Formats: sequence, structure tokens, C-alpha cells
Amino acid sequence: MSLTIDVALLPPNALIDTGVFIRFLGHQPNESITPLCKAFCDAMIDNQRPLYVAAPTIAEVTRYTGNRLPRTRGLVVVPFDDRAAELLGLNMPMAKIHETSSASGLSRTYLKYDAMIAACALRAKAMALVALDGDHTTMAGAIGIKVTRPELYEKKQLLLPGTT
Amino acid sequence: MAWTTRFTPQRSSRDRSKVCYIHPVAREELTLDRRVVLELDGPGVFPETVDAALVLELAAAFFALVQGNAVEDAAPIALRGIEILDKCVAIAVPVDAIELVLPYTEAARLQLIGEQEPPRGLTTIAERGRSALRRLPEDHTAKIITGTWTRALSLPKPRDVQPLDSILSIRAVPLRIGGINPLARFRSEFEPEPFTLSVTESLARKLGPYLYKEVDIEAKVGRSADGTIERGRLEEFEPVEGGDPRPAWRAWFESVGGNEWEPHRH
Repeated sequence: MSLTIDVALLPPNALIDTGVFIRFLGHQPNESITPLCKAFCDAMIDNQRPLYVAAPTIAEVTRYTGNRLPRTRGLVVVPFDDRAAELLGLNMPMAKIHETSSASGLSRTYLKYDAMIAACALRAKAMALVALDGDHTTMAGAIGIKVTRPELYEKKQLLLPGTT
Repeated sequence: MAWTTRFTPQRSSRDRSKVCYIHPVAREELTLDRRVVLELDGPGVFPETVDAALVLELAAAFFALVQGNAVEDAAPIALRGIEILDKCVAIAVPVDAIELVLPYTEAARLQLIGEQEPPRGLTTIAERGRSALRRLPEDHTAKIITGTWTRALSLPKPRDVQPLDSILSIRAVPLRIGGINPLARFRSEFEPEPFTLSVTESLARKLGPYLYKEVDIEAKVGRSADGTIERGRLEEFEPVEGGDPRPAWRAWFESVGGNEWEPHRH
């Protein structure tokens, strides 16, 4: 399969989860999914479609003091502010998070981060939350956010007749 | 008989121009007194009995602000000499060109009452003067007299300001900036409706070049029951860089140790 993005499939804007964000910026270069994460983000930027990053993702990624957070077009940090908190509380109460934790075996702390990221997607009215973790499908999907993987936007080459 | 004339003070680099009207006076009486006067009036206000520390603190702040504003504009004004006038309590400083100093006395007045940002380095002095104003007894009045121009020196009545609820930190586009009490109107993808924030004059001037351009703002806001911003105050902003965002973000990611990230799912 060719690793190019079908621009026609790109959402008008998208919030990328931590997994896509770090691969876009150069982490895990040898993973098979990394080129696609980069290609998706590059295509969004090159086609002037805003990419959103949740503030909790910035918190997850930051290890120590470095450069100031960039203020650039194309990549926008979405705050987890009072509005995001209200949206989260109304749409994904803690009881639901605990339920998901019990069912999936994932820690509540981990899921709370995902929930906050989903709330940021809601806050930003993101048309898609592009994620690698399946948990987002449960969490964000439950509050009406379209959750997709980068593969969805890959341009699919048609096979030649007679080939498999 | 009476006539009025209008002074348009020199436009300063801080664009604090104000149009000041001389009160109607008979022509034969219209001699411009060459003094800037801070006058305190009220029952029992005399030089022999007035609260010296309070008056001197107010006067020191006022004249320091006049001089400071003039220095910032490189205006050739030096406040030298002092007179205590036999007029309630009035402290006067002679000046050579009263029309030159007029805009600076008005600026100092506005800075004392908190309606204009003072020049850099004079914030504390302005605050001390404002504190002295607050401590004036209720039946005392203060005024500034510059030649034949007079203005009351009194703190504005507190508005019915509701507390601000939360801190907002979002990307927005300024649509309109200005007003006597400066306001800035914004729209943002993150808010359903455009919203208006109060802003200091200096922040308004900094924001001006970014009209209709994206900026990242930090504000304290209060919301209505439907969640829209109904009031607020801009605290600061940062311009958004154009061009390719990727180099800056990759550099940031490396600088904060992003490459050391590891998932912790359990």
C-alpha cells in the first residue's frame, strides 16, 4: 500500500491523542505506525486543517523544563478549562470511568487522562479524535466524538486486475 | 466678554492626547498662571492643621508622575521650586510653559485615579498616591489646577463588578479594540459567541497591531448561565507565529524530554 494521505478524507479539523502527537514529533521512529501518524499530521498542516492537541497531552509529554510552548498556526493547544471540565462531568461522569476501568483492566488514572483528552476534543468541537489507543473509542465515542485511526485517511491504491 | 478656547495638547508617543477646555473667563482676566497646583479643600483644611504626611504623599506622587510622564516623552519640563499657597492647602510648582505641561498633569491625574497605566518605574508611586487619595476624609476634595485648567482629583466610584469566575486560555482573533475605558472584542473557535474583555491601555496598544490576526490570550472571565462569556479582563496575550509549525514543535518536544515518554496504561 502506498503511504499517502487522501486529502478528500481529511476532517476539517482533528484532535490528535498523545500517541499520534509524539510520533508526529519524532518519537518511536521505527514503529510501523509512525510514518502514517506523521503523514496524517503533515497532510492536515499542509492543507490548512487545524490540528488540536489537548493540554493534558502536553502534561503527559513534558519531562523537564525546555523551550517555551510554541504558539504557531496549524497546531493549537486546547485548554482543559472550566468549560471542558463541565463538558466532561456532564457527558462522562466518574461512574462511567470507573465502570470502563473495571471492564478493561486499565487504571482509573490512565482513563482519567483519556477522559480529559476527550473533553478537550468536545471543547474544541473537533470533527475527529485521531488516536492509536482503543480506549478512546470507548471513552470519546461514548460522548459523541468520532474516533478514528490514522489508517482511515490513507489513500488506498486499487489493485491491478489479476493481482492479489 | 466670555470666550472659550480649546487646547489640544501635544500628541505624545503614548498618544495620551486629551482635549481640555478652559472654563469661560473674561478676556481681561485670562492670564495663564504659570503654576501647577495641587489643592486640597474642605471644612477645617488649613496649612496649620492638615494631615501633613497625607498631603505630602499625595503631592509627591502627583508631581513625580507629571515629571515622569514628561521624561518619557523627552519633553523639556523641569519641576523646580515649590510654593505653599494661602488657599485652603495648595501646593504649587512654577513652570515655564504651562501649555506644555498640561497634558502631563492630566496624564498624572488619570494615573493617580487608576484610569491609565503609569510610566514604567512609577507604578508604586502611583499606588501610594492612590492610597493617599483613598485615605482623604470624606468631606475633603482635591483638585489639580494647571494655569486656568482645573480638574477634580477623585477616585471613580466602584462599579458593581461581579467577581470573575475562571481563567481562560485560548486562541482568539481580536476584532475591535478601543474606547475611553478600553475594551477588546474577540472571536474564537472555542467560544460560541464573540466576547468582549476589558483591557488596560498599554495592553490595548500592544494588541493593536494584531487586529484580525490570531493570538493566544489569557483572561479572567465570568460566564452567563448558558456558558457564554459575559464579562472578563484580558490579562495577557501572545502573538501566533505564522509559517511552518513543525520545526518549533519538534524543537520543543526534544527540549522537554518528549522522546523519553513511555506509556503507563496499568
